[in-house]
Amino acid sequence: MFASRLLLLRLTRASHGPEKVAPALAASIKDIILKDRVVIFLTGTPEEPRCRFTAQMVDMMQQMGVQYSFFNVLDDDDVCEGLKTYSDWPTYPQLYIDGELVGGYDVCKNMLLNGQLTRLFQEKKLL
Amino acid sequence: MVVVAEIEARIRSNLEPTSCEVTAISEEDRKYSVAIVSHIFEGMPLLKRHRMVNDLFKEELLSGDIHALTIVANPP
Repeated sequence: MFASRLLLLRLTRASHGPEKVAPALAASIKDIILKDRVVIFLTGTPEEPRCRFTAQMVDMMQQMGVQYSFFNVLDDDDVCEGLKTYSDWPTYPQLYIDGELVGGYDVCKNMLLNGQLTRLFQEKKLL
Repeated sequence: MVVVAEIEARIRSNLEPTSCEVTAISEEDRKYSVAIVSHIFEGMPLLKRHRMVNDLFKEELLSGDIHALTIVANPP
């Protein structure tokens, strides 16, 4: 388990995302993340998703009855690339609640299946 | 070009999985699926587990060699 502990330390230390992004871009990204209580960064829009996972995330939110704001990362290359570093999360879509990353589609789907996602929205009084 | 065997090898050498299944959802679209069972995930929140797996393929995910990684990560 020694190797595992080293790995855990290394990975934990690696996640100082926001500090690695240029200040002006980091501020822009933070503004977007905080513009609503629920914000989703999509590839495309809810009406015209450009990726299956974005489409599935949109469907999930619709089925749950969650209201959210979205940002189309295809509209802004700087945000698209910068957010991956800022959030230390390399793919889209990305779901944020009250400024905190919940995860990508996989995480959200797993949380939905085990009841955590509904509980989270309810605790936050968003459902 | 990333291959399934390379993905599996990197997971095995870093996460000490008791089981590890890697499939190409679509080789053409560079979408892969991984299902990992490892003691490392015990007590670990889901976001952190996924982040740990993503971190192994950070370069490939950022460069686009891997477009999407579908992850199932559970303790035994």
